[in-house]
Amino acid sequence: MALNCKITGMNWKWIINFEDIHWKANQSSKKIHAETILARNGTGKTTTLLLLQHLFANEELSEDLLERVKYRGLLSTKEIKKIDGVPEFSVDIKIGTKTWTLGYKFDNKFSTATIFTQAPEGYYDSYEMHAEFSTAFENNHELTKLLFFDTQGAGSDGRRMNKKTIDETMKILANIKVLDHARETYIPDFIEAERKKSDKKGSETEKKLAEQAMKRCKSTIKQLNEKLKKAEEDLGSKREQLDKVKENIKGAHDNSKFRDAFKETELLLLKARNKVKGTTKELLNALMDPANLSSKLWRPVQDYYQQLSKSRIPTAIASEYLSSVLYEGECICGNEIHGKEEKNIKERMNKSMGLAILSEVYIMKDKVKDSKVTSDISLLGSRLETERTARDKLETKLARLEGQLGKKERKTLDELGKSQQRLEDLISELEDNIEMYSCNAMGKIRSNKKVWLERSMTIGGDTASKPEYIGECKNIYWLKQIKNNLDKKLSSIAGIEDLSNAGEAITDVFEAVEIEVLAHIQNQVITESTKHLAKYNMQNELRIHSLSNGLACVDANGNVQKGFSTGEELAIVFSFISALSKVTELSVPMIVDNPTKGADPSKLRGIQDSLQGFNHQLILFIYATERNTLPSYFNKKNVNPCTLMRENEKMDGTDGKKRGRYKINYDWKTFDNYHPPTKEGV
Amino acid sequence: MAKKKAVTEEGKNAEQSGYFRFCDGAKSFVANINKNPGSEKIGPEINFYWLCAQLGLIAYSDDDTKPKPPSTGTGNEMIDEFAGETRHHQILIRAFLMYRYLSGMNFGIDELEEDSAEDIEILMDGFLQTTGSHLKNHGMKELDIFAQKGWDLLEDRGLNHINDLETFLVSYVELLGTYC
Repeated sequence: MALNCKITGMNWKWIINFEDIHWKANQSSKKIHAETILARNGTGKTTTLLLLQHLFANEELSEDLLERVKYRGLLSTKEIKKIDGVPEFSVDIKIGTKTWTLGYKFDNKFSTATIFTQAPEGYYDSYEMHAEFSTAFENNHELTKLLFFDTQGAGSDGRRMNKKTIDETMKILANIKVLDHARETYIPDFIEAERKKSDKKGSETEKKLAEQAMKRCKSTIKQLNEKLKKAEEDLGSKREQLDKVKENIKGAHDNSKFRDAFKETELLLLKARNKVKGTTKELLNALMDPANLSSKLWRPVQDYYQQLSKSRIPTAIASEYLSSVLYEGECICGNEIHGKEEKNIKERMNKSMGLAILSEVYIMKDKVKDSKVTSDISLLGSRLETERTARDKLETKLARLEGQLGKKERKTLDELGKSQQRLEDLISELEDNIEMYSCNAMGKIRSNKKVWLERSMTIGGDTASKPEYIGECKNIYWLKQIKNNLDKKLSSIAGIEDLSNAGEAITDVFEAVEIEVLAHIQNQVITESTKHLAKYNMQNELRIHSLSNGLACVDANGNVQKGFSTGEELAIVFSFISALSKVTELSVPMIVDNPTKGADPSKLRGIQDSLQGFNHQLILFIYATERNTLPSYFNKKNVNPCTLMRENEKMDGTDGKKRGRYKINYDWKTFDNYHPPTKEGV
Repeated sequence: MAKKKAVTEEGKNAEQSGYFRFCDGAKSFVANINKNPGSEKIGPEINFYWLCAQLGLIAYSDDDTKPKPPSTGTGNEMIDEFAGETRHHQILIRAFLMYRYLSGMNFGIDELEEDSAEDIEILMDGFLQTTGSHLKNHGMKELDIFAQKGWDLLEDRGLNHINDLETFLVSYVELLGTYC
């Protein structure tokens, strides 16, 4: 895929807080690829980001999002009485040398949004983008969420780059989504159509039953896919709510009279928890390697294999070698092999192991011989106990501090604590349900048979064929197995087994190609990302280790790291996008909303490095205080400035009698001197 | 003399497919810890399965009784290969298991003579394979037995009631220490 696209403009008409403004890229310098849009808190930057995510992917807007988009601006101050135009949001996108405008038009009640495209050849009331653009973005909400990046929630646990996001993004960009579609839809539909046309072999009753089962199977798959999508959306929203509750708890501590004590204890507790976390991981990993057991426990195993070697066991000659001697008809000594020799060799062959098993045993002997202690389990155990005790003491101290607060504050914290618990329980339940619907590891599916499959798996472990049993299944993978078997049955009834087998063979080939291509691209992306990540001067030499189960990073010691700081996560996403862009010949814009929001001052350098190291178009949505956190980045050398403020607003954010409409300034003077209050306002 | 397992010609070289199996109680233990937001995660069930099997393999030197493994019907299958962290250490894990297995079949360290090679090789051949977990079903079942033994020991000492990984690991290491 080759796609080179850039956002050249954005238009807000009577939405959020904006009346009618049109932003254009590169107003200060044509050479600089980074744009900064500065506006006060609460104007609609994050809503714009969400709109962009949906618009590029051609996704419908949820009621919640439509509610966010609704124009409030000057209506709330009664400066104007009604909306003076058609609400609209659109983006100008330059692809190659031509420009498309893609946007949503809203009705005046903001209950619906209709997508439109102004393409170079004409206007459409639909999503009619350039073919390569559509291939990359349409229905690829996972990619747009990655490209249009909200730092809220960044650094939590790296969940932004989960398996689904990475796999779906890569499949689409590697042009293999089409194979996936052929496997899942086109081939089964084609065979079904042929089945309907052909002369049947089986009885009418048999056919009717199988068709009913198939109908139920398909409807159950559809229902489960819907449930899965809903559960994934709910999970995202509950996680956001949980982040917010945690922020509120911290806020309640910060606003109390014990602010300093809370701050100190929280900081120490964070460090203590991280220590416990790190040592727990280290100990668990150490316990996975039996060579780390004490010498009294492991030495006998080493002695045993050493004795096997001394006794030259196994003595067997690999059966493949003996077979080849028989085939040649000549012994290694040069003598021909006849009846007696042949009989002896065959006897030996029957007792002999295969080459592969022999080598298994030899590898085992070598590994045991070379095995060494890499971690002292006993020491790690003692360390963990000490760290755990220290952490528990701090937990108690924090609880005591909370206990000393006033009644009202305690009540607030108590309610927040309950909310946190409730959300954590809900998240856990949603995660369980998502796993139940989407798990494709047969061992796990079988072990959860009672709840996940019920009677859709027979006692013998086969697929059920009764519609009511099929309807009990709650796992999509197992339903697909049922569907495959029903397909075969129906094809056999219709007398088109050969066609059905051919379809199955092609499906297998396509799947194998997908797996191979995906693995190849993943390797290339990992190699490229590592090069990019090196530029970011990561403190712990973090690098991308694997993409096979979502994005996994390891530190310099090879320890898998899941949680990232905002700066780290930005650097990783930038590196991943840069690598993906190179491998798939793609140049796409990235937008980051509040790049430094909530970032620890020690991490700002990392964020700045991340921003400076990104070579594609970069648009940053910031509020005024963020400009001050990265003073050596927001300057003429790095970014094109833009400030959104009201017509009669002063530089300190105070308004004149009439506030006036929003306007756009591209000059550095306004950008540098605009200091509105930090609290949310319009 | 060794209790030789009869290996038919047909089954001798055939690769087999099976699952490691783990009892419901142990699986629930893993699920509870993985669900606990205040605890570090164990990860896939097989990580904990190995901790149990390792304990069982160690404890076997003091008490050579073997519990019944989980039954082979549907419902207790776990996974058909080494995954998670066990994947990186699977060769040593198999080596530990095969050491116990051969020793238990009367081929202790003092019985490892060249004359016994043929019998030992037959046992090895019936135990190992080259795909999946690299253990034949018989080998997988042996590991299931030791995992069950380890889990029974954890239950005896009440470690099955712990719901966070750090507390469990501290107690587990202490328990290992009693065998040193």
